[in-house]
Amino acid sequence: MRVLVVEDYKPIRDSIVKGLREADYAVDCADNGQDGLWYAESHHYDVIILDLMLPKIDGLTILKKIREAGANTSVLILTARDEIEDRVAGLDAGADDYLTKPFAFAELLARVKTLVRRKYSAKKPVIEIDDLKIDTVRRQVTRNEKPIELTAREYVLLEYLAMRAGECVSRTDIWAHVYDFHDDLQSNVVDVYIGYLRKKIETEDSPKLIHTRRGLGYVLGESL
Amino acid sequence: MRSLQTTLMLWIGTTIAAILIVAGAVIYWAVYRALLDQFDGSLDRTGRTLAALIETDGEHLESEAGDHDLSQFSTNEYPEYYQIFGSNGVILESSTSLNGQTLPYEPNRSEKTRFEFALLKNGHNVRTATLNFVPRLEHAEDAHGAVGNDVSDRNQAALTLVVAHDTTELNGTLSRIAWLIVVVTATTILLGLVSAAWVAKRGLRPLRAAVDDIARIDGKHLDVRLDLNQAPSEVQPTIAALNQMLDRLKETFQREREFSANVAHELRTPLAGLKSTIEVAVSQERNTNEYMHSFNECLTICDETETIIANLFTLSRVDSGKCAVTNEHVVLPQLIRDTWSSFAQTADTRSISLHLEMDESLEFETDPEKMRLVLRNLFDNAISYSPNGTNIYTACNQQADLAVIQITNTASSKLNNADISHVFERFWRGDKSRSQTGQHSGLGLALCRSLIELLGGSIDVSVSSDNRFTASVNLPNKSSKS
Repeated sequence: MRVLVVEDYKPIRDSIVKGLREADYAVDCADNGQDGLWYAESHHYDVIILDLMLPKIDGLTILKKIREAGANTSVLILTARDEIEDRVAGLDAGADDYLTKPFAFAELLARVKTLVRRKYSAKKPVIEIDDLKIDTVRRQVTRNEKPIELTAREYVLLEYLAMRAGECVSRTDIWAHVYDFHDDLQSNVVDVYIGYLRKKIETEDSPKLIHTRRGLGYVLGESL
Repeated sequence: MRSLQTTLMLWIGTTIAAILIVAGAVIYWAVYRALLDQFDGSLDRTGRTLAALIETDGEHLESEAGDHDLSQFSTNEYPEYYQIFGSNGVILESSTSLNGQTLPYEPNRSEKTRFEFALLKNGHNVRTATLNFVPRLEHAEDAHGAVGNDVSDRNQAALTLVVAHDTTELNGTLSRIAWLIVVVTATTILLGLVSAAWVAKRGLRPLRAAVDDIARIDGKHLDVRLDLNQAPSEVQPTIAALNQMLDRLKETFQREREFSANVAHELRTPLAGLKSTIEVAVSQERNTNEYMHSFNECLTICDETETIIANLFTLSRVDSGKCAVTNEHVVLPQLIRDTWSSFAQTADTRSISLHLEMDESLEFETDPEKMRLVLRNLFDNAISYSPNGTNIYTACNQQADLAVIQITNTASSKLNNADISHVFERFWRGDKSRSQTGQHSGLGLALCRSLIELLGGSIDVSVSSDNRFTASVNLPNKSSKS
């Protein structure tokens, strides 16, 4: 999942970026409103973490512009102002959640996870596709009650496909939502990781789950 | 302080009482004079009638009228008295009513009748009238009448007649009038006081209504305004002044609230940074270098927070007037160099160089610690907002009796005069040039101004057409004043 962090205070920005990357999110960051708006308009993000008091363009303006452009990105406002009017103004402008500073990083992480699930209309933290179960909280995957060990990248790829289960997901989408711009990756990395995933979740006595749509992308589970 | 109602009541009551007492005294005196004149007139007439009836045969006096005609001199309850004295004071004749007593004899040298009060031996208060007369000769009247009179006037010695009348009746009338005046006055004063109290209470009703309104106002209800139209015109200026005071209070409260909200923001932000840095650092095992990096980050945040708190503390002490000024001899160029030395390293790494143009002998009497704080903030500002590789110019010289210190830097982003008109407001940041929250919390220049004003000077900022930002300090010499 790709997250944008727009925060002008370096220690907060650095620690959020570091913490999210360690939780296997693809993260971009901006230290001012202008750069933040450019990132938000030119990329597809699952979640944007937005400070309100920003240099150049303030957070509320960015939020309004994102919503005017019709993007369905989830926006979490992060601010030191905690008056009810501030919250109302943020939520009215189209924010999905609101967190006041100082905050617990664990809570930020949990809220980002919830926003991702909500974006893909997955209300429950456990996604089930046939006999494949993905617990997005514990990051545990089982097939037919048998646990499957996945690496962080494999898990993130599977989770993204599971969030969009039944849809055809393009390589570009996977590239944009799963892998960080900062990682130096080869162009066929998506195909390589799909291969790893297939090996681990598809055994001989269970049916195929990941289907290839030639020239379009991949579908997890039954195609609609 | 006595209540307005009591004061009004007392003043109105005292004034009414004073007027009534004076008026009563005047009326009493006028009535007394009139009654006494009437009494004296009647006594005078009695005396003259009596004198006209007295005849003499040369040796004895005889009244023409019989004793029964002059009954008022003998039988009345409040009788009249008379006594006739010879020129040597010998009693020639007395009324029977005197009953052996004597009336006071004092020869009257004038033509007019003389009136006096006297006390008789029987305890009766009397009014006496003393007049001189010449009795008629008995035989002359028989023969020639008026002619004989002329003869007797010439030959007879003048006698003194004293007529007296009991004053008990007069005194009784006078004291009845006096009582009437006293009772009427006292009743009027009493009624006056009661009505004054009522009028005062009624007149003060709008004030009491205003008091009730005011009692409802507290920090949360500063929007309440007193109704000017309901108040009488005398109270309106007071109500208007109170409303204006409420406006000012509301503004101050608003500013204070904004200030505390800003303080909270400024302190929450570094706290949030500290917390998330530590949380992320301890979320998994790391190598020493990574931990060191996080610790150093935390230390930086602590330093920034310390600066914010120190600035806030100094500001509030200056605001509350608790900041003492200790003036000393200060060599200003020396102080400027000292202050710069703590920024030299940072400036060096960013290739920012300092150019000095100072009157090296400039010595002023001022508070060095406050000046150091001002210079530190100005240099910090100049370095923070300068692009790498630019120059900072500092000038320090004397103009008239002021020391003028100017610090000029190239602004890293485009500034205009509208932007910088707010720089002295607390927590204001030139957003366009602001790089990060933290140390540059928008308190620096506000603090500079408070401190410079405490030292009796002034500070101003300007932006040149080539985007150079200048802070100018005008500092007075404290020794020249004392």
